[in-house]
Amino acid sequence: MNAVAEKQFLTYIHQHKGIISKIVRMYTDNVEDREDLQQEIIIQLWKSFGHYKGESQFSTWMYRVAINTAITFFKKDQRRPSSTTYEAAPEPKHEEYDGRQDKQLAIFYKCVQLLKPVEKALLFYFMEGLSHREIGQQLGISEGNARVKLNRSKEKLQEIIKTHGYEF
Amino acid sequence: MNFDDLETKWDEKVDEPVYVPQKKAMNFDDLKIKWEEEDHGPVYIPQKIAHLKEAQHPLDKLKQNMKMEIYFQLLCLSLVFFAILVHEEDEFLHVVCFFATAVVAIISAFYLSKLYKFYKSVHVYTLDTKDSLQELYYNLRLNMERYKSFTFLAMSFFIMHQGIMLYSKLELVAVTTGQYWDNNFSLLLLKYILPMTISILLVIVLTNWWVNFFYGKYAKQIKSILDELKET
Repeated sequence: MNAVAEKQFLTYIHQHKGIISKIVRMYTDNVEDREDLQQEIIIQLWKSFGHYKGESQFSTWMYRVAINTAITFFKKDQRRPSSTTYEAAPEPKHEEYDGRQDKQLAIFYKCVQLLKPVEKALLFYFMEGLSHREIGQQLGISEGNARVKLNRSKEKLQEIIKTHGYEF
Repeated sequence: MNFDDLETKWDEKVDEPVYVPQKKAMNFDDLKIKWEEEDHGPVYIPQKIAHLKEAQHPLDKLKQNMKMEIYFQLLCLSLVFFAILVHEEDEFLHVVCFFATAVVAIISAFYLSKLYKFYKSVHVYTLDTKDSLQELYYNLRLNMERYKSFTFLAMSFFIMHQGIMLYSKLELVAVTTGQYWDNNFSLLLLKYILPMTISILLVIVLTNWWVNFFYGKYAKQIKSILDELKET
């Protein structure tokens, strides 16, 4: 692809880098994995950029590519727990305390690590304000299925968060 | 003091404060607001695409690995072919070897072209998640089976090679001793057939195990995510 397309692409990425940041925080629990996944999402976005024809908003298109990349980005050593438990999530390694970040959000990101990949995707779309129909379209499932799965994911997350001394 | 008095005092209302730890409240609406306002944190975006590191996606790594294994198998096939040419002086065996190799080469070209197509394919992440995963899973399983088939095909070439070597030796013994069957024949058969049989079994078992261990693990992970997306 030419230099114009590259410049356009990088501009879009800068404008929507918050999406990448939030997705990598939901799907990884340490700095090293976060950097790898960030890079991987940008690479896959670039590879897929030729398929973006502007029919939908760039952010909608970006959600799909980024989530699909994150959902299939399995690490060999599987640092994420493979089954959901209600014990405390592992502390992120090599990460300095970021005083700017809200405490509740920090708990949210920590507890989300214990969810399955699809549950994380559902919650991400929910937090981004997508409707059940839009969530279903992004995931390729029916609206009803999206609603049911989202409710279950929220209940599961609530139970996990309660173990950290919070009440929903 | 008596128990009646104690019981009366026990039932009396206690005014002393009791400490009940308060749980902090959280709700999704507040979380959503904080999510919107969140400071993004560091995201490294390169000045140019060329500065991006090489893709580390598991699928790309699998394809790289498959590519190396295919090169290795091609090398082995070539070595077996040249080993026959070098060791056999019989012109007839050369002709047999040539035609057998041609057959193997044609079939190999078919498999290699398909595997190469898989290697070069760029997985499309722009589909919805379910379609994207299904395509990925289908391609991965298909090429796992193709890879196994190609390995077993290469095995058949090896069997042919051993057969030619054995025939050559048996013929030599028969010409030398004037006999077509004696203890030497039995020993020769044992010397070639037994290791060949063990090698074939080992290759079949190891290939299946290797493909399922290395590639099957990823396919299983994809499948489990697809199962999560099923209608409930």
